[in-house]
Amino acid sequence: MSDIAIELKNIHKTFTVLDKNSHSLRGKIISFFTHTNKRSIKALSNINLEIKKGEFFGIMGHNGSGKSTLLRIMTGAYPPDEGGEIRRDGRFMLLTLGLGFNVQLTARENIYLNASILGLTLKQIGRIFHDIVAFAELEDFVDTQVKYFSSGMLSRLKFAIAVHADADIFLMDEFFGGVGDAGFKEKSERVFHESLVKGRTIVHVSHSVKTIEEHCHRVLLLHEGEPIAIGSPDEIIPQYKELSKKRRGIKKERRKNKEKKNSL
Amino acid sequence: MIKKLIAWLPENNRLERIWLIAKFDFVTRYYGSFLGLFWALLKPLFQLLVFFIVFTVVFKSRTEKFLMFLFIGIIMFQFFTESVKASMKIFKSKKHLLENIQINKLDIFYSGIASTLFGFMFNFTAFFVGNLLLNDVFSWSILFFPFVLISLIIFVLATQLIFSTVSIYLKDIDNIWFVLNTFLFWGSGIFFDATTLEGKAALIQYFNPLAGILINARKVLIYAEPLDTTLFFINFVTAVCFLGIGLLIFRKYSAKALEKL
Repeated sequence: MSDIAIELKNIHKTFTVLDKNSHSLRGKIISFFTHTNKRSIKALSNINLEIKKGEFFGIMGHNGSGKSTLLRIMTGAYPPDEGGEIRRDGRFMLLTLGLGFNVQLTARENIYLNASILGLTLKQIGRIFHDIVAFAELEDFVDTQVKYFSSGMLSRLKFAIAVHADADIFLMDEFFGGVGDAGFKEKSERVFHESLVKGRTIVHVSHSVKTIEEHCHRVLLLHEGEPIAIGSPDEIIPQYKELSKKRRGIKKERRKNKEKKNSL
Repeated sequence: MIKKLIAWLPENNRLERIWLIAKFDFVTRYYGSFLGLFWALLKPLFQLLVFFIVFTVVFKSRTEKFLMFLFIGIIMFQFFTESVKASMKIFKSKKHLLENIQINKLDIFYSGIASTLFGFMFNFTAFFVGNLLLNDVFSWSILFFPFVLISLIIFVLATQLIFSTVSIYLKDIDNIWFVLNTFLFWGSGIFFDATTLEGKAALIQYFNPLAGILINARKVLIYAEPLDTTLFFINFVTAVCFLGIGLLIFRKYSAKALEKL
């Protein structure tokens, strides 16, 4: 058995963006002849990556650097451009705020649905059901539709399912900091620790220097879709901060230029 | 191939998962409305009432056992249209499932059909009772009906796959569907007997699987006759070919569905 949980080879991602009017039949016919309405946006280029089992892997980058797109490619929601290869070994769960639940259904139904997607049989789900509810601290809301849940409740539920249904890989999109109050945070920190000991893999996308510094073994730094560096948090965080400084500088300059233009 | 078959075995949870998604889909469709599940039955009954008045009182139709003739036509056609309509929104309504690669995308279609089939079963029970009381029909020929229903399901799945894929690229698919739906409604023999058509129009039962399926459904359910096997075979093969085309289109063009939402 290999010790690689996720392997990405030669991953590029280009989105094709259409003009607003090109989604209709008329728009399609016009654009077929004129070829004017399409734009390509390169979201990711040349990502090659191996994430080991039991690793806590961080992905950092500024807004629009391609972090979430990379995560969506890992889950298979977006296919990479031709030639890209993805290999996953294990059952995964994407943890991101407000995703993966059918809001019309109750917490009970969503637990069954999500755990079933992870490959559990109804019997197995029945056995862990109460643990999930207790861990998420939602005993009084089991039969409430989740559309009435706060975002904190939703994240607790999602996290509880992922933990108890034994997902091998947690893919977390800005999920860490926002989950629950201090008590729940402490509980989840403990679970993270145990998880890693158990050999669970965690991929964590974040802006937060603090969580990356505290938990990650290795970090990938993305900038405008390109991988800048991979290394320990100690190596990567300074580079991230440096990039932030440059960005702020560029923004300031742009603002100044704009003001100058306006005053002229 | 073997791997694919194993996925369907009971110890795998694939069937359970399809069942769960279907069940919850059915629940959400009727959850929270005042009459709940009764809407599933009320809608076709209301349609039946209107059509029956129009065709017996206004147009004085003389089709034998017309009420039940009409009812089975309406509920089978409704099964078809409801399924296809739902499929055009499937990438939005089932996004939370579709973006998870751990589920086979087709399973979501299977469960969608299963959930619409639950609704159909309610209506079919009403039809069965009505047929027994009004027409005094009970014949073993009803045992042929599952075969007819299977052809319909295959045709429904094929149409769903095509329309759901096209809906990714064309936002005004609703209008195209409206036109096609109107054609199918008038051309499938819902309120007339397609076997009485003459000349080139008679060929409709072979070209339009819905028309042929309805003819056979009425034969076995209302007139206690055996299947028209030639017609059944042609409809079945057409539906399967159509499904092949649907699968090809779906596999080739649906991969980028989620990023185009």
